[in-house]
Amino acid sequence: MGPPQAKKSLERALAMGADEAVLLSDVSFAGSDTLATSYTLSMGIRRMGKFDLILLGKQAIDGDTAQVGPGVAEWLNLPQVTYARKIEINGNKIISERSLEDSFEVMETSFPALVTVTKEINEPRYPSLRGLLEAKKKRITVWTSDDLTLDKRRIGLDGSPTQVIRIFTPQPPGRGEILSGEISEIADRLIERLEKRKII
Amino acid sequence: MKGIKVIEEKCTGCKKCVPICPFSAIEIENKKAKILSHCNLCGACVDACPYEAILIEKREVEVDTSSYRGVWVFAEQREGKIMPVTYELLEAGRRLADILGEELSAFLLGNNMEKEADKLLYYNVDRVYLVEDQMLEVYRTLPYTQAIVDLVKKNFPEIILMGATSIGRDLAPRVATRLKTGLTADCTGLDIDKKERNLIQTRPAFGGNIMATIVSAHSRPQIATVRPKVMKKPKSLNRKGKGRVIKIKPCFTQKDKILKIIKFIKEEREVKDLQEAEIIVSGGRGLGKAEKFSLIRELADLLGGAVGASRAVVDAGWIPSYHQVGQTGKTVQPKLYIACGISGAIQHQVGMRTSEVIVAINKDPNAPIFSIATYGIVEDLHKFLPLLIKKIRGKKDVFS
Repeated sequence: MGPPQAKKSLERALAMGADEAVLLSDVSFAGSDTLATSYTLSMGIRRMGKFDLILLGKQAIDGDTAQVGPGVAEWLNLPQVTYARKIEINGNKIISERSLEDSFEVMETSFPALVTVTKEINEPRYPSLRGLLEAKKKRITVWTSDDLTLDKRRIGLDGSPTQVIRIFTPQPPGRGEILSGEISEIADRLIERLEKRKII
Repeated sequence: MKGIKVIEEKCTGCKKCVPICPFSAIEIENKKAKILSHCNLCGACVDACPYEAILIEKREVEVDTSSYRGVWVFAEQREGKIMPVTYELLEAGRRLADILGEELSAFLLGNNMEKEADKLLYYNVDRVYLVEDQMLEVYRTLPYTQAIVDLVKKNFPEIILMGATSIGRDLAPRVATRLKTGLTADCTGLDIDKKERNLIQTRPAFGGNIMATIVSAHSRPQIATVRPKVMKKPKSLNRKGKGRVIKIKPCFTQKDKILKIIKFIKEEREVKDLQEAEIIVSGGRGLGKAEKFSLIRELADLLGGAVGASRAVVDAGWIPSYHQVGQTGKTVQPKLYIACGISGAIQHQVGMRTSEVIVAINKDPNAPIFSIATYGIVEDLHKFLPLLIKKIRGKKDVFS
């Protein structure tokens, strides 16, 4: 889901070996928060048909919310594993390692399921020359809001309960002390100050 | 562009909106602002326009927000112990509840948690909802979601706060989506618009160089997650407050039993070290190359501290991600944070700015890190660090 220029990412995905690529793109999707985004994605997935496993990254690098993965899982009524750093398929089960702050859990899930992954999951491969050539032959399907059986009240700005009301650059909290002088003096001053505060 | 419009009679073509737009989605055409199709409707230009010439139209879906009352805090437990972030949220929640003139409640899910539930009464709460069942002993997404959603649908809280932990960030979006309500992740500031009874949520946005204030004006409950160590930790009262524990037995359907946890393995000691360390020495791009992290490690070892890192060097593969401090990494609050060769983008600052003492070493005097540093040192770290290490080592040798 994204503006038309998001096709670039899909072209790369095709070159890396994806069989099919679909872009959900419509001006009415603009202003979507994570609830509207996960709804729209889930409707795109429904339109694509049957699936076993849905993979997402743990979070986007702009919003950093990590809310879209669980949101899609909820709209599609699927079990979820977030922050997976390893996934294995064992017969009809998904065995994954979910990272927690100071530990990890090994989870067993049945298909279909949704998993979000951390960067430890793997080292992405480069598209091969053959992949690049084959990608040129494949087409990217673009679906607009009319192609999906959407509830129009759930998409874009109208479907987004959260609203940004202000954007600002934070006020820097007054500068501290800049230690100046000859480099060796600076080191002495720093040590002196830290000792005085009983930190070192 | 749908949803946003430029009122041409008011627009003077002053261009003030152009640099403000975080998406570069405004152009001036025939001396009027033109909004391009990749506009995110964030509203930055609306505030920036001196002539009120830009308008965002949002259809307001009326929800009866008045039937929702009170502030709730999710009391996260692991292995039967309440996590410290819960107490930080109770402190923040108390303040919000007092502004609204409403009650503060904690909700705790688990099994045999009566004693832990009692502890919450020492933190100025009015109510503790204790939901107990064998299915809730260990955190699992679906049973927790169902138990919380059921509780919310019976009691109608207007605000829910949850820790932005690996559990809270798994659970909150699931709960918010099922309730079809607004959720804001990783808030660094929370306040109340008393007139509208809205929760004013502030968080870093768009990669972390600017802050955004977010409200969910037309949906209830308003849910926010807050990272551990962002809010102040309260002192417990000497005795139990007037609050009481309300016991609830949840009701589960078969669907909740899909997921199984096979093993729970404690490891990654270094991650814990970073968040509990009293001293952290952090390295950034200014180190020049991966090998130079040895300088950071040496100083950290010498001071008995842990090693941190900026996002840039983790992304470059110089050091594993569990060392990362910042919006996408860990939030830390040590007694001493030494930032070496880190420019200090907001994304980094939100992860460490509540440290007691911040020392910044950077050769660029304009690096943003200096704006939050207690002590700033404008020097080349490759010269300064070896000297500092030598001097501290010299002192230690004298005393040992």
